[in-house]
Amino acid sequence: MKNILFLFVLFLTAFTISCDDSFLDENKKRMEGYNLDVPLFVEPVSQFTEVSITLPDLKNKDFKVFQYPKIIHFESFDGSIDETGKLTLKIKVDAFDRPLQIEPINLGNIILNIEEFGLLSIKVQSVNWGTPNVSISDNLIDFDIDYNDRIFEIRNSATGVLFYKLVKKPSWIKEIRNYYISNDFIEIDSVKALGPGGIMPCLISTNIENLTPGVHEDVIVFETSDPANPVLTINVKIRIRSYENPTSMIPIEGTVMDAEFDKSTNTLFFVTQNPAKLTSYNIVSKIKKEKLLDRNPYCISLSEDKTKLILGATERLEIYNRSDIQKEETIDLEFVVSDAVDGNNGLYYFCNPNYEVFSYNSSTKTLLKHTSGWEYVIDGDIMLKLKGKPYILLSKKGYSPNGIKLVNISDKTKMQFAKNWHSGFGDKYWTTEDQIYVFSQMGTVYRLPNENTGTDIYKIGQLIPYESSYEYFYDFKWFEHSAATSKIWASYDLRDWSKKNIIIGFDDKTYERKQEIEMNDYVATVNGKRDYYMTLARYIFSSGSGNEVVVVKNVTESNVNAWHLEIIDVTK
Amino acid sequence: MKQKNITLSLLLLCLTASLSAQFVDQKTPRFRISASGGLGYLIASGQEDISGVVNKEAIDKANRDLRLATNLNSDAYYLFEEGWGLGVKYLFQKTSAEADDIIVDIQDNAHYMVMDIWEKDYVNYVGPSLFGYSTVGNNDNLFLISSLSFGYAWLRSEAYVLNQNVLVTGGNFGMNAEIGLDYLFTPSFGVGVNLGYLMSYFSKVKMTDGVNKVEQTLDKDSRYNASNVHLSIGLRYYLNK
Repeated sequence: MKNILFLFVLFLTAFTISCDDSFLDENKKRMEGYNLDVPLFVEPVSQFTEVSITLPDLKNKDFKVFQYPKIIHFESFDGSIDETGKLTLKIKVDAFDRPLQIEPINLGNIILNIEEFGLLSIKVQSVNWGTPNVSISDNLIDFDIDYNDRIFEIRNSATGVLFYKLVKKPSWIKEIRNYYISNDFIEIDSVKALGPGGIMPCLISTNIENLTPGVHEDVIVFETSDPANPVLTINVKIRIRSYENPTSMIPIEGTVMDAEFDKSTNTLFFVTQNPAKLTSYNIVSKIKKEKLLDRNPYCISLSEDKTKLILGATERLEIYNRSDIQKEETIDLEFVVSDAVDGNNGLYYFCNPNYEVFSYNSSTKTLLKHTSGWEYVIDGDIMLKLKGKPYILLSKKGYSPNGIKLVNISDKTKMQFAKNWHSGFGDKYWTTEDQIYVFSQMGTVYRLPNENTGTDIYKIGQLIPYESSYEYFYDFKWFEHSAATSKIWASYDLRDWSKKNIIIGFDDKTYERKQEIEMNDYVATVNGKRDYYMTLARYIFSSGSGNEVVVVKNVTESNVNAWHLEIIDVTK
Repeated sequence: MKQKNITLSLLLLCLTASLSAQFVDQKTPRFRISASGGLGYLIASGQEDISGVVNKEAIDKANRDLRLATNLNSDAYYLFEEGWGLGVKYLFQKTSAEADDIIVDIQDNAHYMVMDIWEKDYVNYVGPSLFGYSTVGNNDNLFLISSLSFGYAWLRSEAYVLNQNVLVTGGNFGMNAEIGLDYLFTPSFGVGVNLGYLMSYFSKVKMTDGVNKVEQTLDKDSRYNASNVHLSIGLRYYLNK
């Protein structure tokens, strides 16, 4: 009977247990849901592969996969987060369509049910960025002294997506940004993307506030996703000026009116107005001699024997000893002397702005006017004495074509017209040292006409100041021939084309451009502002050896006198 | 279903045979009480094709597990000398199964859901029962018995599915038929073995998750069929023999 009772108790217990509804209370427990900020990136893989994420706040908790994208297969749906918070999953991923694009493809979510935490949703994404091929437009950006913004390009020539990151730039590089989008900055450690075949034009600007005078060089470094070019380096360079002129630039007071150079002694002579002064400067000994003048000078030339300086001034012709620039003779006149030469026959020939030509015999103190009549008038205001010959070439400023006249000075009492060539030379013409060739202001080269030249004068060459095939009427400022180096030096105003004016060294036989030297800026105070100003060479002279050129130049600002001379080593 | 009808016919045949043994002259007990336990096998299987389940083998195993029932039953009869009796039959049956990592396509074209499921089904059956018995052999300690009961069955199904606990309850009329042998060690006490068939369907059920309740009438294909053939052994107690 006891056994039967026991069985009844067993029955009752089973019945009671089977009526317990408390398990439904589990449904009332609220399960929280969270999204993980960082996606899990996957790609097709046929073998189970470990992927992991770190959840530092969920150490040592069990988890179970609750939901997952269909293309993923798990080795196990259960797992544990280890003591470091590392959650590891072993997954296989089926093949799926992976278009090449910057943006990741969303493949769904893995939802994990984590013990005592809730549901954690992990976004599953995939990216196919291919293989990029990066290049950069410039390996060197030289801001030099203008500090203007520069542009360089980052290029991706392959079909892959390029990612790049600026990792280093000097402090004086203010910013690098998208050239087209003003607020799209390329910041340090900020990753940027560039699609296949894309070009990123970058604007780079400087901040020189804290830079000391001198040259500063540094590098800009990008890290890229191109396995062949993981690092891109751009050298950057900037020059900070001291606002002091170098010692090689020698200031000249006043306005330079004319200059002459004696190659045998490497001495420069020039005359200035305001103050009226004659100055000599030996470029070797650096000895400078100055002589204040009574009248404003207009021109200066060396006598053929290089012993005298003939100086034309207001109503005066003055003769100076070359070596000590002491005045030897004064010829008072009633006009301004615009040009003057030594006739090497005891006479000085000179002219005035009215194209009247005169001579002065130092021995007899006789002044003769040679301009008269209507036919074959001897006139001009530009004079050139042919070396070793009793001939002077005359021409006129302000006429085009001004032509050139050959005048015989064998007769000291009367200049005799010899020949005339109707061709344009400009306001001045220059010859080679041997006076075989002459260069017009427009850059045309002629054989220098003489008494044996026919009635026609033929152009035999053209000096072109920059890369061009056009034989144009260029406007050269000065020519200088160096027989020692077989070079023709020329000054040209490039302001319309470039930020620098230049002097150009031409081959004196082929007339090819061989050398180009930018003119240094000059520190001057213009309208109260002390700054660097662009300069233009007005006179160029080559030293006897040809290794240096002496450049007499002025700033290009209008109506500003900031004349100076600069000696430039042209062997470098 | 065909198998179920054959079993029922066999049981009724045995009951008839038992009643026909009433002419045996012997000392008749007045009461018989039994308590048994055993195993049952449900004649119907669970739903085989569940929409969206990817790894069907896990569901198949659970379905197989759900067909195997543990069974406790008890009855008490007043016996008449003619070899029959009247009494009451109680039967308790439990089936359970669980399956981990069931993968379900949630029909969003992108995701699968992973879930563990379990199910525990309890059926309690009570009903008046007609009992038949006859002595086998000359020792007066071995009885061939049979019973036929019509009664009421209660279903209680506890399940965990889609991360939610669900309780399904229902009730319906049912029938139980058994045949067996009782062997008495003493004049009053012995053991017995029964082979029975419980027929029970539940078409109208109540479902609740503890918050919401739903009443649902299941169609013929999805009704819960607890019918099973069960074999049990247990203790037998004869009073006033």
